[in-house]
Amino acid sequence: MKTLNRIVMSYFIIALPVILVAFMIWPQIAATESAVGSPLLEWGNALSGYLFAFWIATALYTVVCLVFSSRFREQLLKRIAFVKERDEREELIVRRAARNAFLFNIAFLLFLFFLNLVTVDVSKYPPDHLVAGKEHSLSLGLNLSPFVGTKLVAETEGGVIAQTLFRYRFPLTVSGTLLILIIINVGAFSLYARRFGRQ
Amino acid sequence: MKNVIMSRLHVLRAEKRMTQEKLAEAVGVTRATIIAIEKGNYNPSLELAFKLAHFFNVGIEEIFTMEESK
Repeated sequence: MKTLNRIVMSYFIIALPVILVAFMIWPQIAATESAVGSPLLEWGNALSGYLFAFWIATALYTVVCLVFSSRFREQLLKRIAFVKERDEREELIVRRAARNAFLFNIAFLLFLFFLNLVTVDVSKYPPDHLVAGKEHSLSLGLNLSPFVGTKLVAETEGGVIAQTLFRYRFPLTVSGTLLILIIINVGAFSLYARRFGRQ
Repeated sequence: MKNVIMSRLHVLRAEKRMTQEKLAEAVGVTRATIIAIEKGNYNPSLELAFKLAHFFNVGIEEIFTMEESK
């Protein structure tokens, strides 16, 4: 059981950044025309699929163990915080790391929330629809939609069709955002623990 | 003004010709904690301070002193 826990924890933590990179980059590579139908792509798809499936299995195992096993929680903490034995100094390191990681995570969440709220549009109007002689418009907005598909502003019909030059919407999907949050949580705690451990 | 805890732990340990590892084992902490105390990077708890004093058979104030630094 102890060996299984160690293997699961190691894979869960080590594969986390790899999964993120694969999750972000692989679809871009797979979408390129030159990659379509190549044996390397098929091989990469199969490998990344197996790696991801195994990681999901370890993540589920970790969730169950974190809820029910205090021993697993301690082991995971030791693995993330790089402390092998627990004494009062290492407890202090973990406490300080948790405090700082919490504050860092709050800051990061607020930043993500801001990025998710803001919308930016730069448009160019056709010559016969210039507004006060201006042909470009910059539109800044805040879009707070609590549920998928909620429209807070009714779409206007028959408006002037402007050519969109630049459009910013929050680029990440929910699963992408959650994966980044998991990495930031684990990474912040781990880095702070290492930093305080060196002092 | 800031108060700093100064430690004579390394002196007492040297007098006993004892390694940090052995002292750590004797008082139930890690070697890293002994190193941190000797360097002045970590102030031990009252419990650990008493354990150290008991181990060296001296008073706590003979191991740790508080000094003011600018």
